[in-house]
Amino acid sequence: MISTDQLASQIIDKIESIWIEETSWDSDVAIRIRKLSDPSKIFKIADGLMESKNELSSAEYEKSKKQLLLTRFKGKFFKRCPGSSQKKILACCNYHILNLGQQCPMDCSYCYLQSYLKTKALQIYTNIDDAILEMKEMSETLADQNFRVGTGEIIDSLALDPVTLYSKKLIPFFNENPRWTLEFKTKSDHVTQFLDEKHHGNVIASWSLNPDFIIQKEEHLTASLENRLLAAKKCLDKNFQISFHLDPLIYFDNWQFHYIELIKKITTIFKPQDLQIISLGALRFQPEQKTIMRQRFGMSSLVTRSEMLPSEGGKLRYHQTIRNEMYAFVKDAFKKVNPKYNVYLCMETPETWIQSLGHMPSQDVNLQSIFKPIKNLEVSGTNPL
Amino acid sequence: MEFLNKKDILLTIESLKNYLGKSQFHPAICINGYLVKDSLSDKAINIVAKNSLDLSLAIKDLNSNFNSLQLALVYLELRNNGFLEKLNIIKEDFFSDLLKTYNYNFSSILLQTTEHLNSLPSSFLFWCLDKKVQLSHLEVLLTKKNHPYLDLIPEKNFSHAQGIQFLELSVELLLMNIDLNISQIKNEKPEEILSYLKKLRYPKTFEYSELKQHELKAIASDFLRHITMQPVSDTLSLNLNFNIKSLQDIKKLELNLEKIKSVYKNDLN
Repeated sequence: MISTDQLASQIIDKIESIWIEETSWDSDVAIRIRKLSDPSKIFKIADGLMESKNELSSAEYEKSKKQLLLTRFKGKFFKRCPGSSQKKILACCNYHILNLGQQCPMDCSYCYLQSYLKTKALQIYTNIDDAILEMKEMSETLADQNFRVGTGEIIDSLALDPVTLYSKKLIPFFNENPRWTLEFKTKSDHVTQFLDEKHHGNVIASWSLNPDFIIQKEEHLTASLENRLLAAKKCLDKNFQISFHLDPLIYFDNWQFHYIELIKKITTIFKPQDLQIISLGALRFQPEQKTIMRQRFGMSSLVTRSEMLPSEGGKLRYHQTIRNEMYAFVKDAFKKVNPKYNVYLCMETPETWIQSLGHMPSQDVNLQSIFKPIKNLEVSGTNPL
Repeated sequence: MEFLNKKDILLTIESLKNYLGKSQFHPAICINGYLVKDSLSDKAINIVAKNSLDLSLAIKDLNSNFNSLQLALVYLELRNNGFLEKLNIIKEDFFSDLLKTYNYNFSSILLQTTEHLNSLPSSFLFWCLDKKVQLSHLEVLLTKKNHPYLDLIPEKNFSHAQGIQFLELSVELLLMNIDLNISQIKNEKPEEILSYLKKLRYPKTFEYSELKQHELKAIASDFLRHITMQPVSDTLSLNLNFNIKSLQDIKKLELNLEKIKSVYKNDLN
């Protein structure tokens, strides 16, 4: 089996240039990257040199995946999920996000980062200690709250983890705060670097899953379905909690067959008690994302050629009848195998909850604790997920 | 270089705005009160430029209502006429400064779009200027650079919103290799042309909409004369124009709304 350092070297080899800001030069992650990579592609630069406020062209966006910038993050690390800022429109599950970087070495056609990012590089924030300090302060201020924290919103949680080893820095904090839950959300199969970490059962390894057909056609440079499920099984065997996100569900000819195949594969390996949650979300994106998606993937992509319509909140979504049909179909397919599978909707309206699952999340005993509103916490999520 | 009398050719900053609004010609470029060039008329006028002319300062004098498309055209005119080189201006920096002066963010996408303006039909560009289309609205054309039907927009005098919709729909359909059958629809009104294109681009949505209309007609055909309905993803937009003269009319309204409810009961909550 390949070691974590070997895997890290493989990841770094795919990067064309590594830009390290002066104040990040001696950070743990920079030292590790300098040790693992070819020195000729490392450049020490002044802080802020690569900052940009301009939207990226398709060529710049593609290039940004091969440029690595090590920088200190100057804002607040710990934020509420963007869904919480649309509580009137979406059912909110009180998710919190911890951003430890930006961009992703993988390349999904529907990725919202295409219209969100402004920096011409994949970024790793080197001051993770500040992030942990911020969480520590939160844990002291709101000692009675059970926070669910995810690191995979504007960067994949684990795609670069063999390089950063941030999972090994985060898990000890969650050991000290057993009421908090940490979620690594990924489309990679990079798990070996943290498998042997001691944990208190409050770390969730989760995967975005789609049928093989969609992975090959739309989720470029990601791990295969088989490898994702294999990685999940390894985590389960080490007593990590497992979640799956069937998100985005994509509508196409014969979609039912492909999603049934996916559900068969999941349920063959994982019993209901193995899975903390299965979340569903249908394809959605901001209208301004269409231009760059068309440029990069043409109209042969199932995403660009979808019939997307404006919905409340401004995003483009499938017609509600299609969303209802897909959610009900997938939920029923899981429940037919075993009614105990815990299925819920992500970033969806209360109307769609009722129509496709038959109830609001607050009416489901398995979900009440997740969807219970958190008091005394200001909303600061801004990402257009 | 011919020096022109300010009095003869001067378009003040204020009148430039009117000129751009009313002229059937390509916008003249006016810097520091000097008409630079009227590119489409035969009266092409040579630039009036002092060696010391500071263009970035001069541009600041231009009317602040300039939009990004007009600024892009200023840039193109100056570049195409070789003035950027003459004035030793690095083109990217100049365009970037030009946009920043008017609070537009420069990006390479905007630069690419600007470059593409050179190949667009003049009639379409006039329409864009007339309707105050932003440069960013034309980004869609970068994915279909040889769009064959842009002339239709000015020809049918599309409104701003209709034109933007036409660009979006037609580009996607052309990229999907779907025949637009423009020869058959070019005599229709803009809204009918758009409706036709939407049907081509969103066939399943239209099929659903027509099915529902059919179901409604079967049970409430009289009532349908009073309403217009349009499905928009999560919602159904319903415009009702119903005269109520008695309580009986209200009951009739209730009854018909119940019928609509029965048609959509499985789709709406």
